Amino acid sequence: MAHIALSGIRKSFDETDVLKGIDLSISTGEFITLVGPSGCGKSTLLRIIAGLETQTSGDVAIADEVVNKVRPSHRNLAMVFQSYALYPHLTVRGNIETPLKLRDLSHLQRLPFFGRWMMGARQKQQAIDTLVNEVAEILKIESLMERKPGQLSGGQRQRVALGRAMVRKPVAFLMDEPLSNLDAALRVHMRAELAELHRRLGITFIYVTHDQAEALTMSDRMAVMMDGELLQVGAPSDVYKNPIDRRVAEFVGSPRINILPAEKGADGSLSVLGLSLNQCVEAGEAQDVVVGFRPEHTSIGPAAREFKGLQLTVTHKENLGSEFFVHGHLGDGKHPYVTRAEPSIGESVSIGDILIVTPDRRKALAFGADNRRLTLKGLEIGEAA
Amino acid sequence: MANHMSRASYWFITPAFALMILILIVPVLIAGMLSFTDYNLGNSSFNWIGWGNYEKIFTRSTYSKMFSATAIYVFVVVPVSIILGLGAALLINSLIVGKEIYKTIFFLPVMAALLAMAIVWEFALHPSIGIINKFLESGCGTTAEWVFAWHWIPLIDSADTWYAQRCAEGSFPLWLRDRDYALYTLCFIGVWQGFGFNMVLYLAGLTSIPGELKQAVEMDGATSSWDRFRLVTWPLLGPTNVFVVTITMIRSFQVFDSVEALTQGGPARSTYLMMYGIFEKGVQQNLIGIGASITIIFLAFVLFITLIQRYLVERKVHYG
Repeated sequence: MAHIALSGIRKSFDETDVLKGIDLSISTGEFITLVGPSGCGKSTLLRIIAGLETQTSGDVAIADEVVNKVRPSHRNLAMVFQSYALYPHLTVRGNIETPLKLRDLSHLQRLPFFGRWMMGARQKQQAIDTLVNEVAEILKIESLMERKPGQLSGGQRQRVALGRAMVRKPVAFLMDEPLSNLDAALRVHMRAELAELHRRLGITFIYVTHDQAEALTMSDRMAVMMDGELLQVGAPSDVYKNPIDRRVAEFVGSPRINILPAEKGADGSLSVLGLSLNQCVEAGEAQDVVVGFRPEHTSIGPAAREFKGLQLTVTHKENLGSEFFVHGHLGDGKHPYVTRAEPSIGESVSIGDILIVTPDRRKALAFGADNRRLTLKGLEIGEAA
Repeated sequence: MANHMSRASYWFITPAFALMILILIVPVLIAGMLSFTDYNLGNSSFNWIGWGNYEKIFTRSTYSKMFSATAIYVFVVVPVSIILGLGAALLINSLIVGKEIYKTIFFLPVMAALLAMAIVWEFALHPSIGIINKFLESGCGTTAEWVFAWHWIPLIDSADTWYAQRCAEGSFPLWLRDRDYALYTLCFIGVWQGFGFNMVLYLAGLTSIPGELKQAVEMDGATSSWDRFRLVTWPLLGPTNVFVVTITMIRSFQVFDSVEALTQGGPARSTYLMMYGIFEKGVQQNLIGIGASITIIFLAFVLFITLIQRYLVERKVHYG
């Protein structure tokens, strides 16, 4: 078991920089998710860790040993591919035992037909069988062992791919969007199962996905990537609550955060569409400021006291059963806005209604024009905290 | 309404059906019928002679020579041109630059008209003025003899080898005019002409192997190219293999132009291949009856190979 460290990883294809200097330390046994929109370089980064792609510069270290020059098969990592990449001509058992055979049996012992009579082949084959059966039991695929991948469903193939990765007890699992080929219900189910598997095995998982929900639900830490840069690394709840970059705030969370332009007073106090936030940024802050409110941090109906709220014209509503999301645009019609509503309120809303919505000013996230998060200070006027 | 629809569907297939009957089934049936007659072109009548033609074919030594020559040709050309085609495809596929130029070079013989190429081969293989024998002679007594007389391999008496003996005697084969060499020379030309085609088919097969699978085998710990070939390349080339084997077999059964241009079946009927037999009997000697029966046997062979491909092998390679 060992931790994996990336330092200054850069990758360019011709003129395009795909990765612009990634530093990341992954500790032993951690479930880390690399998440970002497609084309952000997350898969390339994973393939660089695996050794399937060579970085332009920078180091990959496994257990404090730089492995830049070590070929993938010697890095002792296992990978689960998006397409599962199972050997179509081998049975499930054959697929799972392949990594063990390649590692443990000599060339002679691997010969077809004759191999089994080579010295020591039988004992080794028995050891392999034991390991394969163990894995099959964990993944509950014992009944499928003699089938070919072509006869399996997507979810079953997924398990076999996991089994093939697990059986060798690698330093880390690398997973490249392993759930994206499954249907929605199975994907949610497999999320729980993968997290459970991680707890059970205690092996490092490095998981690549474009789905922020997968990152939020499964990982110990998530690393949000965009345009070849690592924007923020942290626990999912931390990244969600305290995004340090506007792009992170917009990417993580569904429906996405509402971003509104803010007017800045001379003292740095902010207001949104004429609504004072009772908070201010550093007085020296010269740039334009935007403010973000998450849908769930907005309540429908006017707030108490003199805070008048914002006018929302409803254009669409989504019923998720346990909650509603009401879509619309604010007063002047330029700014779209989404708010969460309790079913009791959501049911009574109809399209075309004009509602008063009140964002929770204490949950406001302010960002500068350079996308950087700005700290807000309460003004402590009007409403007492 | 439903009735009208079903009748319309018959009308739609009629042209295709009629053409198939007319240009495929009818000629085969006529050939089948003629194979039971002694019909000669130009004769006003013919006699039904039952299995007479077939009896001749399976008893006379000329025809048994024809079958054995055809069998040798097929069993040399098919494996050699397939192995060479696969080897060339694997090598070209591993290149980073220059893929296109090699593809073109190896594919040239396929595109060239074999009849024209046959003339080139005839000159090259000419016993006294041909470039091949000239080249072999020039190697005698030099390092080339040392290498090709296997002098460098221990435990081999190099004076006993083919090249050393030819050099000692100063006589190189007559190639197309020697009955021991003629068939194998034709085989060589067949391989030269055909392997480029197989190479292109294999190249197409190789590009269809998913990249993730090649990476998966690397991640699983395969370090040698043999393991990669065994676990990924070969199994995934399965469908290509079946097609290549079938098409190469049928093509080599059908070889005709090189025989006609270079040997005319000789010397001593050593290159009397089936297609040439059909041509000689049916067209040159106007013995339509016997020509038709060779054709029917030929058709049976090809049909047999195709059926094997269709029903036995094809299911196994798609891993359904």
